[in-house]
Amino acid sequence: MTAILNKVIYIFCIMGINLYFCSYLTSKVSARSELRRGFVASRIGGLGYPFVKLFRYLAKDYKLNIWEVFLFFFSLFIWTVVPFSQTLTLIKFDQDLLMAFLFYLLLIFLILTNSSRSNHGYIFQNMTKNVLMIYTFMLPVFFCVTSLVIINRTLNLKEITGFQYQYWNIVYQPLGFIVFFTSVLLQLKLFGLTKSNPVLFTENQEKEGAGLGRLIVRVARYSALFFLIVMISILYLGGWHSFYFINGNIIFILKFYIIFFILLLLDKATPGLDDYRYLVSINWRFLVPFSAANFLLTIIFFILRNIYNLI
Amino acid sequence: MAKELYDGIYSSHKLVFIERIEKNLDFYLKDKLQKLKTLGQEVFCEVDKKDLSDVLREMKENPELEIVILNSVNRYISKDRNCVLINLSSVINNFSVLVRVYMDSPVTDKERLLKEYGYIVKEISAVYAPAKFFMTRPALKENYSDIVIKGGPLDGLDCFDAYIQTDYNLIENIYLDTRLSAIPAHDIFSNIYFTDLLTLISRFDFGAGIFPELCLCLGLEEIMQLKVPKRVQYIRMLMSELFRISSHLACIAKLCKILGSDIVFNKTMMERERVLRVIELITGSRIHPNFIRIGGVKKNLNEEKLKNIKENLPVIFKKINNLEALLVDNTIVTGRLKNIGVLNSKTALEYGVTGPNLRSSAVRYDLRKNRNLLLYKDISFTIPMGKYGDCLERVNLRFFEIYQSIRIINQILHELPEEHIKKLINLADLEIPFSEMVSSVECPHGVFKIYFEIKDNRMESLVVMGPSRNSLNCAERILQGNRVEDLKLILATLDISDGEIIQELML
Repeated sequence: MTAILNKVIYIFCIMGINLYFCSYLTSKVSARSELRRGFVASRIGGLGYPFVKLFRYLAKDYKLNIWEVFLFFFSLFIWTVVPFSQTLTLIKFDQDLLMAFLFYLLLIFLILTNSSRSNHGYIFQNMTKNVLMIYTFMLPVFFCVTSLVIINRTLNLKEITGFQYQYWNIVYQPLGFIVFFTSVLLQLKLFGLTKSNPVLFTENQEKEGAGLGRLIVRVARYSALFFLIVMISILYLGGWHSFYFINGNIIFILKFYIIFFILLLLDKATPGLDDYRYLVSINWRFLVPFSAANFLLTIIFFILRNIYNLI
Repeated sequence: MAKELYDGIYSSHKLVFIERIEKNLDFYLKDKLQKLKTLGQEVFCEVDKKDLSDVLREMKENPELEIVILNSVNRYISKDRNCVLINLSSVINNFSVLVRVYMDSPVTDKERLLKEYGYIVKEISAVYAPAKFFMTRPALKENYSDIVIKGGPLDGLDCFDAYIQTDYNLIENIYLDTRLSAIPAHDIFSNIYFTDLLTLISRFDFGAGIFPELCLCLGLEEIMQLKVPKRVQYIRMLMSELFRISSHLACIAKLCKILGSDIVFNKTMMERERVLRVIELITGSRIHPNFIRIGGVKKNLNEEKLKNIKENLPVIFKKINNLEALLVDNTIVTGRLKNIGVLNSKTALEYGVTGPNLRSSAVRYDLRKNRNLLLYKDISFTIPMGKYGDCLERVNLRFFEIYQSIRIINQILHELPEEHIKKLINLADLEIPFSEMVSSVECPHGVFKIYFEIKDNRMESLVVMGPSRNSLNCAERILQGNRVEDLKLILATLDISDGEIIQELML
């Protein structure tokens, strides 16, 4: 029991620290790209800003909605099946890859349900459209992950990481990696950490000082993005394998922050994608065909090698 | 000798042409025109209310006149009587006509005034269809009420309310209600000294404040028959082009803001800042320059200022080149701007659109080349022209115009004549009897035109005919069939200046 409690505390600490630094990094990068200095009352003083912001959220009375309660729990549930290292997992589960993506789908469903809320009730027409649109972005992800599963022959994330002790999966699946990464970038642009996208979020979401509810939504958005980054790291970039003499956990953290930084830079460097038509066309014209082609190639390779023994 | 001859021929050529138009009008409409004269480079006539329809029809259908474009319909008060001023033009023959109609209703009677104004505009719209935009159309508010955007939420446009009728996410009909920006202009501008007006008039164009000043001064110089020194003309051209660059950059920045391209937005604003600092060094202020004076300018250019411009100009050119590459080479940006808000040449001419919006629709019309404006005839430059008339074309054209402006400034810096300028007139000693004048300049949004009447050194009335009004009317047409998401983009590329929409309040 104490072991599980320790793990929960560990995971909470990791999440908390990550949230703190990532929100700091987000504000800093967005400020720099907009040619301003960001929140610097003094240079070091800026470090405390996310902490101050947290209190600003909590300073206002807010009646929690039932969806927000769900959202809060799911943004934490998602981390129960994702392994942070060889030992740090809460629930040991053979098909944890499947479970993790299922939790992710539920999480984004909840985020979107929450975002479709306005003062006059829910805008169901918008909600269904948004949910379907986000789920279409999961199609290429599904193809890419299935290709990986065929290569690694397992649905367990730890085993997938173990498989990469010699070569990372990016070597076997370069096209899949590009498509996966682009899909993540598009989802980041849709959820919008630095600026909320008008395609998904109603104005009500971004009202100033909306209290605890807004904090929960923000944490959930970060949580969804962290999940995708961790997935990139585990599925394609070797996870927590140590690099020469450097500890595997440190390498994992480094990978996480490097990917996060690159995603943020790309987010700021490209124009806002608040055009539904353009987003959908990127998905259906580029991501889905490429991922499907990648999937077919993998299957052909698998059949030729394992059934006919030709390769 | 040859140069003097050239100057003489060039200026007189235009006047001869206008005299010919005047003769033609006199010949065809002799009985119906109460007054006919030339004001500056325009023809001015006065028509009785009952003859208005016949006169307009003759003007439009006569092949020798071919006045097919209605630019504006304005109400103003002159000599305690309500008047309607109709601005018509012919791009093919390159001239414009102002028609004044006196109204019977007294100044204070609102109901009669509205009724009579409605009648006159109806008469005009029987001949020129776009005249309906100058009517008061409150009924449309209720009909088109699926989406209502009040002034303010649209980026930088707080001069109108938009009432939209939609079919899912397509705009079926849109009504842009500009009554928000109606002011009691007569109360503000009448009885003001014309020299004092110079400091106020730049408010009519926030983006490029020098053009209203220039327009007013050109009109006053025409009344006084002043010959302006060559150096002054060159300095005026220099300032106009600097303001043109600044205004176009502001337009592009506004567009980047809407596109969500933060980096390009900030870089564009930085470049605009660079241009504004040059302007500030010369004029002492950034937005409302208060620089042009009657017969001259406020300050001469000294070596220090010239050196500053010479140092900054290559930097501005290089940076704007980079900006263009950043914005227009981006497939996401071009994907959003292409084939959206297409304005073809026929529609643009019909609605009286001028400036970059017209030129992007493949019509080469620019007062700098087509009229005898300042000394642009001495300078080598081209008028860029677009082809497709969509949003992307309008953005591209603005970049090309900036390059041409830089080219003009470069030539001015090298050819600026050295002249010793003395102050010859004292404005306090001047006495101007009743006189009226029209003058126009090519501002960054199009042809900016003002009509004013002066009596005993005081303004009797002032009518501002800004080009943004036409762009706005045109927007109502071209927005139909586009998506609601593209509304902001199309309005941003049309570059609508708030100040130019200001109109006379209907009591």
